Amino acid sequence: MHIFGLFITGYQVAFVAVAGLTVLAAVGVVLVPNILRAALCLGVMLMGVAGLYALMNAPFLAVVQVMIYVGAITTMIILAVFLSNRVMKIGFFQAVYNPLLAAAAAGVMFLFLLVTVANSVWVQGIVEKTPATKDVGVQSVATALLQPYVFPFELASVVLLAVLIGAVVIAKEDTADES
Amino acid sequence: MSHSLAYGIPISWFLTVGAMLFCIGLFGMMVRRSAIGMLLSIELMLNAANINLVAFGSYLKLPSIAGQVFAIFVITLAAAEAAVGLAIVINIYRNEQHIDADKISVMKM
Amino acid sequence: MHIGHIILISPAIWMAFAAIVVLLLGVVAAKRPDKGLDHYFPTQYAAPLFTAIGLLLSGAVVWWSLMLAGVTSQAAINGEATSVSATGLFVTSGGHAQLTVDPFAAVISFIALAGTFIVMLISLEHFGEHQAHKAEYYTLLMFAAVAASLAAAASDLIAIYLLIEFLSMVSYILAAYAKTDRRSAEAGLKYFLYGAACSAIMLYGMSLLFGITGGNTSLSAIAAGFTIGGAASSGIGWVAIVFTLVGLGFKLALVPFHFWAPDTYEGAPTPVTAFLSVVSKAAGLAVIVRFLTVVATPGSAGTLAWYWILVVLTTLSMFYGNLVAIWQRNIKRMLAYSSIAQVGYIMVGVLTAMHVFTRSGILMGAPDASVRANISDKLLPWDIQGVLIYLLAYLFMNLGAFAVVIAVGNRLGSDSIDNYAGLMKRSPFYASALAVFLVSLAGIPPTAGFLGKFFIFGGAIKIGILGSPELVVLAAIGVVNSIISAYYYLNVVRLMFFTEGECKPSIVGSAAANVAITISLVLTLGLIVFAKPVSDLTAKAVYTSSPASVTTPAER
Repeated sequence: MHIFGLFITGYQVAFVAVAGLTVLAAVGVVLVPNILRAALCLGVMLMGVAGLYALMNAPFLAVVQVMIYVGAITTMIILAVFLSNRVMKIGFFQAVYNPLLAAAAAGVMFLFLLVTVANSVWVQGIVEKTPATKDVGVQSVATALLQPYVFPFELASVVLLAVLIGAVVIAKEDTADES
Repeated sequence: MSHSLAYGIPISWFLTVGAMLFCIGLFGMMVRRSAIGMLLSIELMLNAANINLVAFGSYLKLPSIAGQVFAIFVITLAAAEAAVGLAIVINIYRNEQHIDADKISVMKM
Repeated sequence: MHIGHIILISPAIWMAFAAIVVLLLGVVAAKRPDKGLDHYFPTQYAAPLFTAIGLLLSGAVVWWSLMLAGVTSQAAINGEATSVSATGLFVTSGGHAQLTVDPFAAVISFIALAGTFIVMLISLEHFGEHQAHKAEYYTLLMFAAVAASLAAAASDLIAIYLLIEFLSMVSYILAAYAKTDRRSAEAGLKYFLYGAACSAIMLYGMSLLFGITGGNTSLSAIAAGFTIGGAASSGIGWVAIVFTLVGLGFKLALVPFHFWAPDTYEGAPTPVTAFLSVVSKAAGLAVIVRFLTVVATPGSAGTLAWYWILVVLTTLSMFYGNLVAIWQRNIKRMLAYSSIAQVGYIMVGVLTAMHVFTRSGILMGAPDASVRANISDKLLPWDIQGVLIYLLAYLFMNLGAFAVVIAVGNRLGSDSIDNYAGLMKRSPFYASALAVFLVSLAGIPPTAGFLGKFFIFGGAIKIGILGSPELVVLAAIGVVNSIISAYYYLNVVRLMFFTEGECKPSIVGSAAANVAITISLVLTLGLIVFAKPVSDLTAKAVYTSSPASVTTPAER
């Protein structure tokens, strides 16, 4: 469709909507004072990123994102918020006490990244105008995971086992009869 | 599907969203006053990197599935990292719940 | 991949297996705490035993990888192979390996396992018999050793990211392991938050690196993409490298990324502090050496922005670590700050190595002396193996110092430096051992620390006079810093020997601590006796290593 003489595809509209939601939710994650609401914003942000994956022709990743990130990680964070509500009020890490200063620093970093990364003429030379449509599905992901990346795939299970053990030990409440 | 989904969307749009999320995450790291708030900011930064990975993976002239694979590993590790972080936070909470302290820092910074 | 090459990572596989066995032993023992299995085969002794076996395996792998590298470099000379290394593991169809177990990686892996072994011995002393969750503690320590020993060989972005995160996450848990001690919990939380943030920045850098070099995750393919496409000179390439270095700098506690170190080192259980300061840093150094020498060296080092950034950070690390260490009254904090400076010394060696590779246009692993002679007859043989020698020395002197600190701290219930006054009267063995370790850390002959500094600064000067004056300056700064560090190290020695402490009974540590101290002491003093074989071995390890595995056609 044409708006003000510009040709705009439906996908562009979808992108702007999804990306706008994502960035808005991300701002909410860092600015909303209530940590529970911030965690919910994170959920929205993660859904938005899943939408971006879908737009980039990575449907499997979009599903993984929703299931693991939104379904598991966000839920875990919200549970932890419920479990340890008072810790949230404790501040001892803040590096920059002036939010405006922090915003300025982040803004400068963003402009820098915009110039060097997002708007890089050099990058335009190595990429296509549209994302690939071939070999992007579940099958290619599975083949890649089990052939060239079988080592990280196996290693990930060891990592998860070790972290599981460690997290349980740390989070578990020790009863008196255990020394 | 006959043509690409992201018809008319250049890669720079996705990279821009990635850069935005990364910088918002950095901002959050600087201003958030609680451990979980900082953890949320870190998740933003990880997602920024994932968007880059997937965007490059599918936009490159020689598309590479490795972008998606890398992102899957990142999601896996993000889950593990969140578990570790939350376990430590819960443990601190348990240590602190009998003490009414505004600050738990007992060491000098 | 040759299936026999799986043996090259057998130490890591064995350690992962043994970690699970230790965990199960602990579960079984917990069922019957008084009699039962734990009575005959206590979990806390099983772990060091298994690690010792892993150490033997690792030693065999060092030997075997040297042999393999020798064979393949011979093949390269005969024109049978396109490149030096055939020791890449999990090689993909493109000929790129996930892991490259070259002799360099094998030696670092050996250092990681040896460090873990000593850390286990001092854990026995520190925690005693009735440690809470002891099986899980040793299991995690063994998993950390798996991560460290594999990280030394990682030559693929995904593998590097996974292994660095693996090591980090286990370290966060270990730092917070003394659950009821709020300082430990806080140490863990600080370490976690800063670490996770730095690794997220590193990941962002890696994602760019992945993109601009054409969607490759393998370091060697990235290196190729970097030089061909002109990516290195673009702004995006700069961001990619510098962001990646943030995550690696964090693991090393280089100066702008050091802020977690003092608090974490002080708050964490002391054996964990020892682990973080040696094993974790060795793994980080292995990755940074591989990364810098493979990927980040297009053109000449002197023209690279990040080379100069690293020069500055190295200088800052040395000065900051030493100048702040002077004022510490807690010996753990003092060792923490001094370890920041120690990493600075090692980074001088890393920068020298980076320069050698860029200058000569070779990667690690010029096939043999005749080929090397063509490149430059002045690059032989002790210019870049300093990193390995210093790491070996650092392993024993630093862990030895921590072992004494634990043994003494456990008896005195404090880590204050003032408590070391008159230690000579109370425990001549501990006092003299600690004196040797501190003298070695200061780099005074005839100790291992001197040997390491001799190789690192000697190599830097040797390469530096060929036209990189900054390396000579760095070496000079290193020597100046050694003198500064001697002040606070020798201050402790002075306290122990020449001041009268309160009259208290003598200190006798546990057998495990004494074994750890004895091993460290013998090697800290003995390394210089074996200077020649150690130098030959590390030289061979460096020169036969290929940081990015490009396999032979027959291998594919």
